[in-house]
Amino acid sequence: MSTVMTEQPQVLPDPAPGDPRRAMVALARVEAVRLLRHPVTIAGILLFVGPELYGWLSGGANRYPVLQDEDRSKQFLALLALGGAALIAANLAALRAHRHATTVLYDTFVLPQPWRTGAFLLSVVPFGLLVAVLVAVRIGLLAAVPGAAGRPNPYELAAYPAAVLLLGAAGVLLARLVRAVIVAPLLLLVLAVVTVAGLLPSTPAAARLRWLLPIAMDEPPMPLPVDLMSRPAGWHLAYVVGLIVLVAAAALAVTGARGRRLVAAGAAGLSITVLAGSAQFFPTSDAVRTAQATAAERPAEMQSCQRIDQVTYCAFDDFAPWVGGWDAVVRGVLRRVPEAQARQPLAVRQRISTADRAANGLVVTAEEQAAAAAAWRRVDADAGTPNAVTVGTRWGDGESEIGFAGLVAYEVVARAGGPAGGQVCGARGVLVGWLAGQATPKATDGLREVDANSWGGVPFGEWQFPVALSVPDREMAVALALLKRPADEVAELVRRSWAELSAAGTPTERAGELFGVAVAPLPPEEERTVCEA
Amino acid sequence: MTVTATGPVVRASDLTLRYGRTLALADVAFTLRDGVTGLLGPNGAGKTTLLRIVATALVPDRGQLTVLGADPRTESGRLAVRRRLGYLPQDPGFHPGFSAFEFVDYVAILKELTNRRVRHEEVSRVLTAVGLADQRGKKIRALSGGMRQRVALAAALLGDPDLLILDEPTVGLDPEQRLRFREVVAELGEGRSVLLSTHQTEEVMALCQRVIVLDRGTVRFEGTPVDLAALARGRVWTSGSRAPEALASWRAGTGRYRHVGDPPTGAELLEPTVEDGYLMLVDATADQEAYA
Repeated sequence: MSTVMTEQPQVLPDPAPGDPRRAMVALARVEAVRLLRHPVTIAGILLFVGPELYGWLSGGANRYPVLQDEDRSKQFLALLALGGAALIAANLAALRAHRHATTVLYDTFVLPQPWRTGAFLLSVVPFGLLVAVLVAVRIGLLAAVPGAAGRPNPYELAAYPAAVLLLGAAGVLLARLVRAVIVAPLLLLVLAVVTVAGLLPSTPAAARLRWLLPIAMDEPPMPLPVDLMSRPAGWHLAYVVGLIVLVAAAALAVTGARGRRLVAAGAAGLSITVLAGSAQFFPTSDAVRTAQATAAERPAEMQSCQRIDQVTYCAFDDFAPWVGGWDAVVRGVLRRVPEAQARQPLAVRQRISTADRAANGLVVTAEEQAAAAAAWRRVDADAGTPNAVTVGTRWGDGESEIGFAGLVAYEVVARAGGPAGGQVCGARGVLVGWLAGQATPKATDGLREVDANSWGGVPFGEWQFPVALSVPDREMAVALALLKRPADEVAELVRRSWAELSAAGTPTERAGELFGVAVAPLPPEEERTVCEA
Repeated sequence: MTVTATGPVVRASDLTLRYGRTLALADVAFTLRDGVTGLLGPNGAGKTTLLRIVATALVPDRGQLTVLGADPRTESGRLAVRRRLGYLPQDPGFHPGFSAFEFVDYVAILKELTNRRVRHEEVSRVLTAVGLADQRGKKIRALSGGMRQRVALAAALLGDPDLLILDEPTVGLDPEQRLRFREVVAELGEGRSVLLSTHQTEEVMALCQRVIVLDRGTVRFEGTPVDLAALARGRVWTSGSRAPEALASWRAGTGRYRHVGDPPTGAELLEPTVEDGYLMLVDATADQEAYA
């Protein structure tokens, strides 16, 4: 018998086949933790949360937030701080093997490159969720404030995490395209510049192009009631989601991923991006435009009114929580005037402006302004609230309180309806200035702030409205001097000399005489202001 | 009657690879079995290229290669090899901000060890195996060169690979670290195949059951270290002065000169070492090529 020796190559039993999907998730988990712990991420979160937190802790936060504005007010900051952090941290993570020269080693590992890229893409998701939580907590806190107005748009809120996911995915794609860490910060810089430049459009058509950016910033003339909003936030969110899918699919394809599902995802991303991107440019619906026009011209049709003592407050439903704040200012003015004046009926009506005059380059002549103010008075009279004092849709800061207090004071003094931007001179100007300035502590601060930032006189009222007034510096100097005295003492003099002080023809010198305050001499003829109101 | 013996873990023939116009490997053929096999060769011999091909990081231009019964030129074969492979590159690279545990854990995930508990146990096991259990939480940037090398070895040991490829693992280590590393590798060589690239002939003598000498992209020798040393048998001698005719001649610690080459008549012959054999082989190759 012969024995034959053969030699076969060693074929070892196959180890349990790996599961790339589970490995991808495990890798994504590790990368997500590293991304959240990354100094850039922490700095981004602090930058986003810090100022807000400081405002709440220091008491400087606005206690009358408009939720449909607040929902997007931090989008640019989020893009820079949080999106930027996602972009840079994800880019650094995806470049880590290259940066630390571990590619030679990593090339021999089981998990294929596309799955690793998938893990880097997934690792941004927890950061996106954290951002969603931060945004939800912020808006929740704002909504819990008693003076909160309106309601947030979920699409606008979702834009925050969407921007983070988009920039995180872009960071991964960049790493797969360019092996240089400087590219991601450069992209962020370009994005920031382009986003800010989007605020300075040359034409309204060019302004629409800002909607092709991850976030679309705009500066509406003033907050609008929710039902009058025309931002295509839903379409924009869909557009950003489409971009996320597209960028993620591109990152996977660049690293060698192939297959029907990837092609389908890429095609879906592209379709959503194109469709939703185009849909953003659909004109505002006729219904919304009609509603905006009605709200601007005949607000009474869309408002509810409530009466507190002799004062009637009419507001858009979103802003009803502000009536208490307005009433505090009104009471602050009325408590210093003679009882007979204080008991007279008074109306306050909220108004909006949808025309962004500054952005559209519109110049309004004095005649047009007077005509608009007269039209408002007619509408108010028809609505049963003649000579209603105008209040806007911003509230809670010194500037808005002093603006409103000035208009209330003027109505109490003159009983003539809203003035069309005229100068209130003489004793009447002194009286209006003092009554407004002492109305509330915030109004006092607001008056000092406005006085410091204005020239020639102190304006009262929103500049977008045809109804406004200003008190010249000469009269305001007397009013400011009176504000330094005890209010009760001044109020006593005001009540005693009300008829004379509130009369249109009483000169400033007479007011100075009554209050015992020196009045500056009249400026030369050519420098004098024209007193209209 | 037919008996099937344990065959080679790696079988290569005609492996050829060019980097542009440079021929890195030319018709390389060898077999690798269980135990530690040393890969010797001068700088630029093609050792790292050959190791990267076996480790599936490079694909040869031509030739046949079977690793652990799989063909690494196919996607499935490559994955099958990678699942059973441990590879320690010459410059593995580290993430300095990772701790030793985090780094090895990261590698474990890339090796598709997905069960978190099992993976962490495995990471602890390999760190213990290389003597780094008590340094697991330390950042890699704070570890010495020897410790980093052991971290990389631990990463290579994940999943208890059947084939371990170590590319000059002791470069830059001090003698004590080298000795510790050698102990670890010797232990690893029991029950698995280890392909160890090195410049150090004493390492080959100390660790390897077999040795392959690669020079200028071709295999010059494949056999045992004893066989390699035997190549210089009768060609190593000692004398009191330098011998200009020798391939190499140097003054040893004893104060006498040691020569490798064709000895003069009546020379006092010495027992050759692996280094002598390697020197003879590499120099002879150089001579042949110079002659050609």
